[in-house]
Amino acid sequence: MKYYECNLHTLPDGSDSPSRMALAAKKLGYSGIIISNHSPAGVAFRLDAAELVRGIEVAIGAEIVATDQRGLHARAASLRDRADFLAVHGGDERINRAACEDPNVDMLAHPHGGRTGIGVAAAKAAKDNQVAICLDLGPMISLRGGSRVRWMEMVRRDLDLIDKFDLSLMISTSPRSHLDLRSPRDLVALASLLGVERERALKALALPGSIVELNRRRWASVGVEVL
Amino acid sequence: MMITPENLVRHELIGLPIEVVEGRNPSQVGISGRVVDETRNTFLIETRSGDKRVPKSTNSFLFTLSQGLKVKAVGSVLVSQPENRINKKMRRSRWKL
Repeated sequence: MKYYECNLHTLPDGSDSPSRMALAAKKLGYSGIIISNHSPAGVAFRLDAAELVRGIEVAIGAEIVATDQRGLHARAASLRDRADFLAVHGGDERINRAACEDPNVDMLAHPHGGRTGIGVAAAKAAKDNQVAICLDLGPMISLRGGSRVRWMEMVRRDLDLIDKFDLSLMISTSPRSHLDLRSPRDLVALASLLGVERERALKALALPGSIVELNRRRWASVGVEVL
Repeated sequence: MMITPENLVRHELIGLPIEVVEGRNPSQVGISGRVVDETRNTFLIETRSGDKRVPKSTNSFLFTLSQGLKVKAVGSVLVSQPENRINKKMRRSRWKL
């Protein structure tokens, strides 16, 4: 199986260049990375160098940071044709729901930023619009003590919802530096602490690759592909 | 109006060269010919070995448009009576069906 790191931030959002990230990810055993920066159009600094790194695929995605639903839908529609992978920075309940209701969106990242998680309405919409939910394991590594316990409780609740509605799951640590990257094996082990079985975690790590592959094809309209 | 990949789903399909490229029934995959009739759920394809009726929803089809342009369409987006397909609303995008 080919594993992808799906929510990676490079310069100017993160602290490392795309090529350094690509080299570090390759060393850890990834087949590809998806650079999803917050900056307009997700443009990464010195991307050409990363594309020269052999043995790893570098895909350009974008992560939308929106304050209201209308802005989110407009940004998603405008970025859709330019980005191979479109994520939305969630956290707020309204933004989580708006992201799940937009079929242009591929993934909802950081849905557990606020006190609330996904919620039933958003989970239902995510199922209808095939929006994947990203299980961001970054807080599990960085938080300590009570705050980590509370975070884990919230994620467990959301994982129950993800199971109930049979949503697509992706796993990431949202790295901003090459030091934040964790190997697929580490991510599977961390996810198992949250109750995600090994097979499911491996599938979650491989899913971004298949979505990028689908997005790169030429779609003339819904379900119609130009060969 | 000329048929293009963008308007294929809403266009008249009778007369177009068609091939079944993917499907749940392996014996129907590979059927190729010309569309001679269409119902809500099926295409009637004129092949060298006679007319064959193929369901839309379980198959993917390859259409050859004018200028030799090849377009693959998932059958589930074509499920509708031909006269109603022009009004069909689609809220999904790209590969999301």
